[in-house]
Amino acid sequence: MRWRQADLNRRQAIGLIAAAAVAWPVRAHAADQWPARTVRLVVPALGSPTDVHGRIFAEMLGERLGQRVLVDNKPGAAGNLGMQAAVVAPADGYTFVFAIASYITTNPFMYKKLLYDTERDFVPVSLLSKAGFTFVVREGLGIKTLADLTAYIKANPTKLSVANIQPGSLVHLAFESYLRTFGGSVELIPYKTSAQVLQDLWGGLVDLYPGPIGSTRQFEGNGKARAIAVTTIERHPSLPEVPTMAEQGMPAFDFYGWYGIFASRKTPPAIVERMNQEANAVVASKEYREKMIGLGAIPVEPMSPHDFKKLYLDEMAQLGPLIKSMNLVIE
Amino acid sequence: MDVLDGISSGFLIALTLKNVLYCFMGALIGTLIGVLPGIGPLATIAMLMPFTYHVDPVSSMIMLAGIFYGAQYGGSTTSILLNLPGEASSVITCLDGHQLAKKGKAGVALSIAAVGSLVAGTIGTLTIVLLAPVLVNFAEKFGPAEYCGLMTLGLVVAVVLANGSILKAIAMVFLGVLFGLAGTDSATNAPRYTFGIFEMSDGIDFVPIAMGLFGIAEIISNLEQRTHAHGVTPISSLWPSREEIRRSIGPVLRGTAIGSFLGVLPGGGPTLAAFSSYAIEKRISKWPEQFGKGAIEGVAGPESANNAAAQTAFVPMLALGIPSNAIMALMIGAMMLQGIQPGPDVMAKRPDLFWGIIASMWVGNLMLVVINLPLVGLWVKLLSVPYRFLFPAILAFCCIGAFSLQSSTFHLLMLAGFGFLGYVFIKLGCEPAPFLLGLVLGPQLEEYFRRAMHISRGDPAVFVDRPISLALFTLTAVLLIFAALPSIARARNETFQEAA
Repeated sequence: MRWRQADLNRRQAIGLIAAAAVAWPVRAHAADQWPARTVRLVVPALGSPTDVHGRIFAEMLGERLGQRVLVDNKPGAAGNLGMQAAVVAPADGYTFVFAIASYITTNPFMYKKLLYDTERDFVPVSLLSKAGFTFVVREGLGIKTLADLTAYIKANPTKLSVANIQPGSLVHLAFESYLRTFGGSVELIPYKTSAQVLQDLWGGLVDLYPGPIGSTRQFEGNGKARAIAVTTIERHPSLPEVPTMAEQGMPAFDFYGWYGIFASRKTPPAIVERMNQEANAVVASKEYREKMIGLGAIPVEPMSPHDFKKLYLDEMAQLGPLIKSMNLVIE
Repeated sequence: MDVLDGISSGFLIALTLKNVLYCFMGALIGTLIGVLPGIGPLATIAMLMPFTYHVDPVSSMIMLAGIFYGAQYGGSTTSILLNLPGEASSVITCLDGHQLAKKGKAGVALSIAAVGSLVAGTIGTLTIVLLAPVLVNFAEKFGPAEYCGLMTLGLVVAVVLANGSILKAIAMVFLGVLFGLAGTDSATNAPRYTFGIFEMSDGIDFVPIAMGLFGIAEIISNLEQRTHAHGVTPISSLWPSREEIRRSIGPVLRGTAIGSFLGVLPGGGPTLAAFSSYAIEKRISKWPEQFGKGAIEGVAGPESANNAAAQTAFVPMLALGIPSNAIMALMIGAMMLQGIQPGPDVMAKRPDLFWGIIASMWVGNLMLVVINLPLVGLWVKLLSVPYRFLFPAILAFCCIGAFSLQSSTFHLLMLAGFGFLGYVFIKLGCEPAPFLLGLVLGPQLEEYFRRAMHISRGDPAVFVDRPISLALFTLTAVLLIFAALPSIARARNETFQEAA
């Protein structure tokens, strides 16, 4: 059937108006009544601290929404599989993805092929928390401060064995930027888990571990290793006596990962707005903030989607050139 | 005495009504997920974690621990009944356990596995109480070079434990290593053997491989032979005879010793323990020809070993804050959420937690026997279901299990692919066990080898300079020489051909 404006008779016109009148409140309703059913939160991890974090958030969010927030674990391929699952889901405001910083800020520079494109596929919803890193050094090297470390590396190029869990991870980038301030060189030893690193650190086989605060705090107990600096601009509540890089002569040194939620680009803006408010209410709650500190993460001030986007765009502008200059690109 | 005070206070904590209930819940959930292939303790513990932080830390840790060792327990049930290993550590139980089931002795295998596990659990708990500091010290001496030696030994053991041709066993180990190398290179992040498939970038999941090679391949082979009762003769006995119990005592004790020791080492503990125990039992058995055809020692040893290893795996976690596997890492997360910082000082700061969990493990093991022994009869009845009804159910379970890993159809394709590969292996007379050991140990061998060489800046002397590493490589060399000596090899072949 051909459709021309002129063919609209009066009855059809009334019909259309009526349909629009019915449809309009329904659409407005969809955002008003959201969530009318279970909300799905894709977590691109399984059985890791990220997964635990996602589940804590999902539970607290569910209490606020009055609907169950179901965690859907899609681990694998550096976040690709989880992000893709969120891309292909219907953009009806019932699927969100729990992303970590590297999916957004470093993956696009490291991998030639990705299953998602942040700008094309996603809109930011909320920043949930940040997570900083520490540089842990084994006792016996006589290194007690960042200045000691710098002096040691300068005096003994390539001698220091530094545990590196994933090339191109944010903590690797943080350590590399530190090295570049004085052109230092070290030997990077590949590791898979922080447990392996801690064991070798205590055994004296590896000298330095730049790692997430949450998985390096165990060093405290037996005096065989010490944290000499945290990489964020402020000290961490769980390591109050460890100074920041900035305090030790590296002004503005601020490296951290973060956790945030994203939605499909086509999600109704009203729902994104509402989700931002609800997620921010969780972020601001005392209970959530305490749990984050317990996990070694850093509570943040609630942020609008717009500010969240500015935050990660700024980070990308800084990290992109660094990654490219480090030869980390994977075909 | 400190230790006695500690463990008695631990029992006072573990035996409160509340903690006994949490322990029971953990053991029960663990058994259930162990029986269901695919749904592992890792996913279960992750899912239950948000519920546990409303509970006090000791009770929640008791329950989570129960899920972990309960799953080890449940895993043996499907291995024995259906030739379906749910986890790497129960692969070896398939070899003789399922053969026993085919001979109508499923009940015997199940109850020996249960009792062996209880003995191992008891001794394992005792080992932790008495030797925790010693074990911790020992584990700290294990650097990359030592792991490298251990993995090499493990791979050589895989060849020795094979039933048929030694050449085929070597080929299968290498094939397994090759499959294991698929994934991401740890030093450069470069993808290897992934064919551009994103699902392969973290390597091939163990569950679809094990279920495919054992379970699915077995079904294809059974259907081909049209053995409607799938070769399982009517149940001759539910409980082990005095002779079978007598033959199991040695393997249980040796398996426990190996397991208690290997469990402490991060990575591959229970699996390596089960494989090593099997190899040793076969080596010293008066009836090595019975192995692979339903030797009760082949169930008793490995089942005790993996359970003991599951107990002592808690040692580095509780005493040092070092997780020996992904599940322990998750439990560390659970402790952190409760405001407890795991680390070397947790034993001094929270003795209630440390001793309470250890005491609860013994309670949990007892419960597992109480849960499982009455079920033996029920499980065995399952085998009397006609095969034409049973095999679709097994297939469905495998598919659900593989799918549930990541709710992805990719794993179903892998399951089908490895099922077919397993069938090819059966046709060629190649055994899947060395393949799986190569698959599990190969990537670790590579990882530790490269790390050791990185740390020594390329100097291979690191493998002989360190005493433990030197000892392990020497042992490997001795084993290899024995296997290669023509006279011994001939004697070995004769032994097996006699049996065949």
